[in-house]
Amino acid sequence: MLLFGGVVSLLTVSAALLGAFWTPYNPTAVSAAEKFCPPSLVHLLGTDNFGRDVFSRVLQGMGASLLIAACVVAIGCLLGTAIGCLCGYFGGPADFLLTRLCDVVTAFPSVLLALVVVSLAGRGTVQIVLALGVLFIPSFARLVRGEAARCRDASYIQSARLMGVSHGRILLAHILPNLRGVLVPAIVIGFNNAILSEASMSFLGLGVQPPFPSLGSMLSDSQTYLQRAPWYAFSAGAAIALLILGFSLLGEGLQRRRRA
Amino acid sequence: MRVLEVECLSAWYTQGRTRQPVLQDVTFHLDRGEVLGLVGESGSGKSTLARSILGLHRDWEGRVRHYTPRPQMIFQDPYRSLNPAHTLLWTLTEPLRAAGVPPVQRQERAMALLDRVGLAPELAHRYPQELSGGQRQRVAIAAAVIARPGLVVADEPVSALDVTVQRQILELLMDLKREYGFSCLFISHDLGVIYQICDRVLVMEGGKIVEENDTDALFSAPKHPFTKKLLEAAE
Repeated sequence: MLLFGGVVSLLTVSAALLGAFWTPYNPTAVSAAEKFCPPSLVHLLGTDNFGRDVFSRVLQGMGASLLIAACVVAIGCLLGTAIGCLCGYFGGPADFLLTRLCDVVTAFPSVLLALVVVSLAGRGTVQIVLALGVLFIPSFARLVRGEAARCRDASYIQSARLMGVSHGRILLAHILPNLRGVLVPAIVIGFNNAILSEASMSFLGLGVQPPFPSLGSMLSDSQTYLQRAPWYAFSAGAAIALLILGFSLLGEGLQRRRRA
Repeated sequence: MRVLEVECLSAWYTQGRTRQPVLQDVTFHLDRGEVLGLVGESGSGKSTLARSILGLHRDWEGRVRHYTPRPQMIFQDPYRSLNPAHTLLWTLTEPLRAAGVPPVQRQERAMALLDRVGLAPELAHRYPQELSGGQRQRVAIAAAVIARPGLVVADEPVSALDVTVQRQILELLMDLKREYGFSCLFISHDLGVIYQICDRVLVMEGGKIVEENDTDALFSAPKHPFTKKLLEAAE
């Protein structure tokens, strides 16, 4: 599972990297003469309603998805880990307050919160990254808080306190390295969720703005032409499925290995 | 020369709104170079006393005076007393870093002590998970004494180990005590171990110290009924 997930992830990531530097056609070049070409050797996955090459758009769309997901997970993981560490280690009223705040954020449906952010800050990639990033903080914070609280009571941390090690160094050098085991699978699974969330946001037209390709918006556009150009919907859907498949298998595999 | 003075120490745990008293008016002192035994049944408050003295348990009142900086503690469970994310070398150099020893000397002192506690130098880059319980406790003792504390509190340091390893660890602790010159508060429920290494003994029952005497005197002529009961049970 770990190996298969790793291979699929590696393939999708390298395809996305390729798409960032080279695509067979310009993914935004419109050509009225080549509308709805079926897949062929000229256009591997056919063309869409504007005559744009679907393969090129999928490659670049995957890159956009991965980049956005990476930023979202980075925000969620960094802030979540910082909050979780401080709460778990120090405890007290601040811990109570922040934990409840995380519960509140989790209680809202993610699409609703993203809609609020977009209606306040406008549409666009940066806005959606920030909105999703904030939504990803609680899951990391909760996970890290539990681990940090467990560490705090361990005798090796009490020894460190007796030695006169500062709280900051205890958090960074004594507790943080112990979080790697829970954080690595959480990051991979979070990455997966971020790809899905970004796709749903773009599907609703809240994410990456046209004409730039995004898997979610491609899937949404292709609905109209499902009968005339089934390859269009299939390509976008399959790309999302491949991304998710790879990272979810990788994440599950890592988590199982940790439990074993 | 005193290393530690404790006067009228009372400690408690808070459960909801009720205070659960654990220690009542505990008074004792510890002299330089002395090994003071603290014996009692489990739940009598021995560990809470140690943790209160060192500031690891907060709910207490009374007076505790330390005459040496940075007392250290050796814990019972060797499987949880070493940081699993770090190598033994790191674990041994960290107390030196905290004590302000210059970086060039840290590694040298750590390697020397690793050898002194009977562990091969190649173990320096291993993680605690790769060691046996006895080996871990050797490292824990080394980490506690490396920065030359004046006082080491040992809370049942050999109770989790099997009997042959117990003897080796006790011998190591006493050898290091002579070399490094620290005083020791040694907590145990095992009277045999106490008899073997302590100069003086405190007997604790229900959060109070019921008898205090030199080891020989205590074992030959116990006064308090609880001490007599403990000695009879051990025979």
